[in-house]
Amino acid sequence: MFDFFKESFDYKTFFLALTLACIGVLAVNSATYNSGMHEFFVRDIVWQGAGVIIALTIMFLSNRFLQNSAYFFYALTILLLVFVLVAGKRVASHTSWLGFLGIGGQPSELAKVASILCLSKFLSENGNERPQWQVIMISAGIVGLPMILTMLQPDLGTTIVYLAIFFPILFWAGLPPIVVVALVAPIAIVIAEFTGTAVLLITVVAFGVLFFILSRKKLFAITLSFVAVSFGLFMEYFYKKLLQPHQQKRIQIFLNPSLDPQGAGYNALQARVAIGSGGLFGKGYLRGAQTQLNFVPARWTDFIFTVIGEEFGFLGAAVTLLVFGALFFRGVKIAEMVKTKFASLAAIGITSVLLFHVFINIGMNINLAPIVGIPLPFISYGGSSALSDWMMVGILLNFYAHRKEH
Amino acid sequence: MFDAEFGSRSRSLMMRGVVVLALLAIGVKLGDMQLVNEVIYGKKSEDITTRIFVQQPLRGEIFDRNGNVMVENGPAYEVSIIPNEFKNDQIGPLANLLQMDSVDIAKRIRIGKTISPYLPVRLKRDISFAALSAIEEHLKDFSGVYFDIQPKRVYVGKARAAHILGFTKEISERQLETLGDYYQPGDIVGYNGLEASYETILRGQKGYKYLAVNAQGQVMGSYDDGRLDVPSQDGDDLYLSVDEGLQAMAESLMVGRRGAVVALDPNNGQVLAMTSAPDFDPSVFSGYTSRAEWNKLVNNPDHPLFNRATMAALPPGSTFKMVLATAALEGNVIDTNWTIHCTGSMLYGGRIFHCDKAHGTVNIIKAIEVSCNVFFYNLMLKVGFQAWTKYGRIYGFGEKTGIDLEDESPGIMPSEHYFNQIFGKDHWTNGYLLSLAIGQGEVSATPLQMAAYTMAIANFGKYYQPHLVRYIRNQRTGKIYYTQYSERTLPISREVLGKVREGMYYVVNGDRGTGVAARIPGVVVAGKTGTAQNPHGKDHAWFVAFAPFDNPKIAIAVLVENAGYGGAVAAPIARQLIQYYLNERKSAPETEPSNGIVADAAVH
Repeated sequence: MFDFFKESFDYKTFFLALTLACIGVLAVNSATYNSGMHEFFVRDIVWQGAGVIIALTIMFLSNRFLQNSAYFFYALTILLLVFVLVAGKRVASHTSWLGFLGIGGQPSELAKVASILCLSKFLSENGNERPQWQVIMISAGIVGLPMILTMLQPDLGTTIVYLAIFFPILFWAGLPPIVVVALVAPIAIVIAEFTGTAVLLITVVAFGVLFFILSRKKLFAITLSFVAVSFGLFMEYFYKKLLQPHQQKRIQIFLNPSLDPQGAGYNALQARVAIGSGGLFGKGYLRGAQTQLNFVPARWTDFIFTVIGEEFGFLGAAVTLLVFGALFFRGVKIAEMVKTKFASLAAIGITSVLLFHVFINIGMNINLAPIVGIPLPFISYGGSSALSDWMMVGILLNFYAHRKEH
Repeated sequence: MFDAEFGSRSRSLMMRGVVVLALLAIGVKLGDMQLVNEVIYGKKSEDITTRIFVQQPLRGEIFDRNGNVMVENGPAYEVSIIPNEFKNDQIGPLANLLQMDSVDIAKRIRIGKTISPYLPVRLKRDISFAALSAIEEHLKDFSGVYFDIQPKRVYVGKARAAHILGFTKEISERQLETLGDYYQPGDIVGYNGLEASYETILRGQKGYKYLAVNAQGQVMGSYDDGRLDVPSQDGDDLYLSVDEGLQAMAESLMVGRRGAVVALDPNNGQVLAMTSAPDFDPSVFSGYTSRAEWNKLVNNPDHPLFNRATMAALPPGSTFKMVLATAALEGNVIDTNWTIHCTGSMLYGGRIFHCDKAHGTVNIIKAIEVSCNVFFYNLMLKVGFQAWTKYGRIYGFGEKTGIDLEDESPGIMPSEHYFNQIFGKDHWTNGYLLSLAIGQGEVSATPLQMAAYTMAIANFGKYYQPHLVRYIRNQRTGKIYYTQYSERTLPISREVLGKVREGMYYVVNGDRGTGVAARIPGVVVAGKTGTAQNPHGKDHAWFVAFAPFDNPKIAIAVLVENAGYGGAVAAPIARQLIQYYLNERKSAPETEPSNGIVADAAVH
């Protein structure tokens, strides 16, 4: 047993995640301290503890277990997603909470993990036998199915998380750069269109240039550029002509909440004031005027970072970011050291999903990203997300333990 | 396929690069907010944080057709507390003072605390002056108790018009879910009547004031010089077609009875008066409504909240005979030469069908005048179910008139198909049909439908959508928006309607007419009586009428429940209303604004 921990236990990953969970428990305590919702503090400790147990359990699974059961696990979560759509309890107008034995749970959190494993298994076992376009289509199907089911709930935040599964894993699998750029292009053009015509123009030109740099065949590059320009023109037409002014406004507010100071912008404004007022050292634990006076809404879930920013200041926020950074580097490192392609791809998928959560969640706290409501891993209060975060840690621990086996 | 690049060194470097870039972007933005601009945010946070306060707009007012105010706004005092400053041992004395349940107070405080302990929680709306002065007197004994002035509805018109106007009420939890994002708990919302159907027009738009609040939760002043503030917009006023005097008279004539009166202008479908008896005092709801008062209204066996004028669908009795007459004449089944000899009863299918007396030989005009059942029994057998149903539908029966109120019953206009459904095919006989011929049995209509039908006969076949609101006036700009309503021309010839009208003329003016009680010296009235058999008690009395005969200005339907014979009870009510409207009313110049624009005020 001692030998196992010396040789096979990735204490770095484990303690980085545990540190984040502790920061989270402290923050949830502060966020709920004055609100009459203080029971969430106790529940958060319980969830994080359960998460640790699950992570350690997954660590002890045998070498090929995760790879062998990936398709089954995926099929199971898809069934759960469908079941939720049909029979889910409505929570805050989303249908994603599944009442099971009295415990609320979001299968969409599980489906993220299952999709990472499933896509990794497919690419590592069948990725070499088929033509490239088939591999891309099937990969898109694997990720697209849970994505569509999540979108129907409707849960926009979790939906876009699947993009952070799809692109990085395919990239890691060795997809040619030109294909990666060509796949990213339509998404970038849509976002650019909503930002403004000038940005759209620059984006389309930039992609054209990239196509010419990355492709040796000029005709192929010209074709791709032509498609990008047509798509850009179509989006311009779609956005300016087909959408009603109020629909345009809704998209604008989504991308820039300060346009709507009574609605989404109110949360964003309060969050910014809270974080900005934290300064270098912060106002001290449990002493943040904004968070303690309940000015920041949803501050123990989506806006938990305001507590850290206000009460621990720039230093506290920076430490938190560094711990996250170390965890992500560790994830890439594990992807490099493992012997199986499956484990390597899955490790990258886990790392990028966690990174995406961190970037979008903190980004919406500081006006860098639209407000889409996805949690900050290990830190936001929430049972399902705590469990799925720790499942991913457990998978990394499992890969590390078997890193020398084929 | 693309194994060569799998997990390559360059790709691993790019992955690490993305991690660094993403976290760096966050770090830089954080540095900008927390280090460079800390002073700005700090100032906003330390001394001043923002809090949105909702500015409630004033509800629009409602006027009658002559510009008399029927509903306006007055002040109501309300008491609220700030949980953070309030001590729980004060609940008992405060409950005494406000005559509230202390459990209720504790519950409101608990709910309010989950929103914020620093924001006022409303305890009671519209407290009495006695309680208000008592609180003012003891204000120093209570901490965290405040009072505030909020608008409430005040009913100032001569008429109550309770079912037309409806009332407002604090929004319920269910309505909060169904009515959408605009509303918040504690908001006042139109509950029924025009207050409900024109809710979005009357309510106006809430404003938002951003106030600076210090760390102790005290309001310091406006935030950011009020640049984010959105002013509230008061609701628009409604100008009705209702004549307040006629309405008040209709209400007084119906006191002590159960039933309804609807009077329409046959030239445009405007509702001149509409009352349902018994009614209620809408001001009961304008402030704080005690549970006892509410229960008293809801549990009253006469259902005063129920708008009989639009909701009570009852068999129309003989007032319905004009439908069959129209079907027969328009379909050329008979002409005025076709006669029946009435002996006072008729044997059909082994059952005796009665007439109230032996009318002798009658043609269709005489049959309407004397309301001869035997004539119409025979006519129904000639005309047939299908044609009768067709003309009932043409007159608008079996579907809602589309009046601008939310609660309306379509009544029942049966067809063969309908009978097969409810009785089963071959389980009903032509005997049922004979009942329908005289407006009994499985046929029903609301007083509003009866008035609209009378209107269409009076004006030779124009069916105007009945409506209460003539125009909407924007309080701020003074702009007028005319509401638009549908109209249709009934496919019935002027000649046929002329004969039907002739029959109705003799009902009031003939020697043997059943509605002579509606005669007015100097005014030619036409009408029709009806008595609807009521299996649960005394018959219901109907009377429909229009006047003057040659140039109708009013069409009216009167229903008095359990009053017996229509000609005796309902006709005199109609007579007095017509008399008032045509002869006694001080014909004030109608306020017909000239700067109006026509707009479709989509309200429903």
